[in-house]
Amino acid sequence: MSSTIGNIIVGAVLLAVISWAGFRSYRNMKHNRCPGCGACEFAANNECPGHETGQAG
Amino acid sequence: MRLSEIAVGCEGIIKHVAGTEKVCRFLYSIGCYPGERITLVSVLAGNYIVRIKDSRFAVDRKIAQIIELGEVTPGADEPDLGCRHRQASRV
Amino acid sequence: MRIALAGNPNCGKTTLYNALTGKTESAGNWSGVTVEKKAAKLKRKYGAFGTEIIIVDLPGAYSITPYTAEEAITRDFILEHRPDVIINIVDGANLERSLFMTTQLLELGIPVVIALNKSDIIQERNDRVDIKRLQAELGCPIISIVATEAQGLRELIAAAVKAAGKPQRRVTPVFGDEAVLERHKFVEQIAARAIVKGDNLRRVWLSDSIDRIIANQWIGLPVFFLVMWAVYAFSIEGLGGFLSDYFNETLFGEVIPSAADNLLSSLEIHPFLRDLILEGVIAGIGAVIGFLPLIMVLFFCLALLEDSGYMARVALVMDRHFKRIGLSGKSIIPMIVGSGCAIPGVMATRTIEDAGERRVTAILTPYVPCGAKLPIIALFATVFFPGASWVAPSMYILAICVIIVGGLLLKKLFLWENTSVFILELPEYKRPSLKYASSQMLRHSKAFIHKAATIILVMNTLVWLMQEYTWLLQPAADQSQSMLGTIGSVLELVLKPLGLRGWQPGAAAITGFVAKENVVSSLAILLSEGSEAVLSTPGGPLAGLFNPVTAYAFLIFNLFTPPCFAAIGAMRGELGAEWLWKGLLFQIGVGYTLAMLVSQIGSLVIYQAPAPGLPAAVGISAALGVFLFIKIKDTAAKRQALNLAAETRS
Repeated sequence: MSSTIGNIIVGAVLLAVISWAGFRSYRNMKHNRCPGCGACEFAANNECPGHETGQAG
Repeated sequence: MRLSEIAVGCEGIIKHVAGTEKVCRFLYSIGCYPGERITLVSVLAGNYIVRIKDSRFAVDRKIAQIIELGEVTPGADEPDLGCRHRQASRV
Repeated sequence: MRIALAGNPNCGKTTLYNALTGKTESAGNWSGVTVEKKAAKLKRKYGAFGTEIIIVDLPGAYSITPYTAEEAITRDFILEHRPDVIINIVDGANLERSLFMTTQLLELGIPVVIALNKSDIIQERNDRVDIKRLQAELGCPIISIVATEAQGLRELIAAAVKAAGKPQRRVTPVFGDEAVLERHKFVEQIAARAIVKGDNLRRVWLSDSIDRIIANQWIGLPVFFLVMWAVYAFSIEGLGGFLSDYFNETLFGEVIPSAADNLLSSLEIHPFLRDLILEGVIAGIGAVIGFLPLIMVLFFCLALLEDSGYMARVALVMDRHFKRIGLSGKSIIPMIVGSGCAIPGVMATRTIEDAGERRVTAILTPYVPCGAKLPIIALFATVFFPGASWVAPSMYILAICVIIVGGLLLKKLFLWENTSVFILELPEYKRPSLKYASSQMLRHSKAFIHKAATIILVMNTLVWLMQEYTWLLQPAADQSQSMLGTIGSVLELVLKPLGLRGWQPGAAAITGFVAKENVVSSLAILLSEGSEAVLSTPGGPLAGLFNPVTAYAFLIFNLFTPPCFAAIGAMRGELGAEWLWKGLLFQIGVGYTLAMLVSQIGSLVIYQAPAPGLPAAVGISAALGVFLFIKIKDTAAKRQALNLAAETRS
């Protein structure tokens, strides 16, 4: 019994972590071309100044 | 006399800058404009190191050739350099 | 409320920006480091004003009449977005020149507050600045600050907020864009009235003496190689390597896997989840994170070097050599930025005015080994060349050679003439700030961990699943029949002339295009099955796939073929689609050929036996030689025709 619950919890945590990571990298890549190399830190908070003017495409 | 022709340690008053409009504008904005004093500090790796106002710039030979100088005098504030004649440094 | 920071290059804008916002943007002691505008919220400790304050850092410019693209950004932003107030950072060490731009900014009608930066240097030089007088002459408040020490920032922000919204008082005459000389005369007069110069001779003389040695036309280049050698050897094989060994062997080799194993076993976790976590996620990420100390040491050293003012001298030394291949010292700036990450490096090519030179630089910049490629270098260096300190620096020096030969090739292959001129400000040398170096180190390690926890984690999961299952989603009896195995087998054919065996190298290399660290983590996942040894032990699982020569060739292949997708995206942004394809083909060609030559010639010389795929390699080399010969001749003919046409016209 305990193993089922354990499996579900571990599986859910893993799924959550991976989908969070996937979402983060997708969003960064889409907005700023860099999946997380630190070239543009604003990508993370979606406050990259390029977005206003569409310069950092 | 052009900047590319004066000896290391000499300074001169810029008479004329003969580049394209864009290059002139840029040179003017860094302080290299007619009437301003410019000092040739040294020639390093084929580039001319000059002092303009309080800063130093490296300019290449193309630029050094378009900066025309009026009177050229031994640099007043580089006593240990003097106004040596430059022979070997032509690159 | 928006506050824009504007000023000359290297006047301390980015330092001020970092101090005000708590960000850690790279702020080198030379011009052209900031090419895009950046924005962030003001830190709360500088006061609450009831509204949110956004600080915008603009690229440095000597004038707001644009000469380069980054100067145009400054001007366009101010004119189009009309910030509520401009903080004009004026360099105390170059006061008179800085005031030229100040008078231009005062004409825009937006309130200006002057931050007189580096006021410590003014004192040191015994210069005297009559601030009251200057304020009266210019009609705007002046606050003395020392941005590196965060002195005077509170007063500066208070003054800026007070000035915001009110129209700028007009005291200075309006000159417009054309009357440049009149403007200079006016600034000279103001400066003569408000500034009394002290004595600055000794410092200047020292700076010049150092220059005469390290920018010397003969020993400048060897000195640069020596410095780079020292930095890379120290960070990859020295201190950084030492710490990484501990991380790799003890922390990620034993402590964490066995702890996780125990935990998962005690919870009676399903073998699928258990393997995914242990062999996929932990093995993959551990293999990359293990190299964190190395990244930290390297970026600490590079930041020290940059802050000292040395990098501007490197540009000066390289100018001469780059001119021969149609580039100039300007091209070295993106390349040095690219040693951190190729993306900002490629973006920094914007500072280059000549279109041909800009393109070639954007194609060549990704050859500089970036931070993400370091784990690959370090892994192969420790496994195949234990104790040898030359492997990592040799990659860097090879990169410089590839850039020079590549530039020469591009010049021969494509028709363009370089018209650009080289003008670079040489900052005074200074003692590098440990605080700045630490902040850069933290910034890079943060980005590194962030990357490991996002894109690399996702890729590791994918790689693990793809090496475990076949295309029909059945568990693969043998790894080579899995999804990744079949992809790798196709690539094996392509990589055969490089002397590489097995499907694993191809599969790892392909994951490297998502992020270069993935080469390391994918190898770790692929080889974790059936082997208990840690990936980075000499003679470990990797030794089954490579010998030292093919390992070196594989390293070259990963470093000198196109960069990761993100950097390719940046290249696309700067080059446009057509040149992007030319550039990518060129990068693939160079990386592949170089790896092939090293592998085949190296095997013949060192083992006196050909590596597998020698006939194919000979064939490819011959075909490539013929292609280059025809293409170069063709371009030469076109060039001649163009020259003739130009002559007849004139």
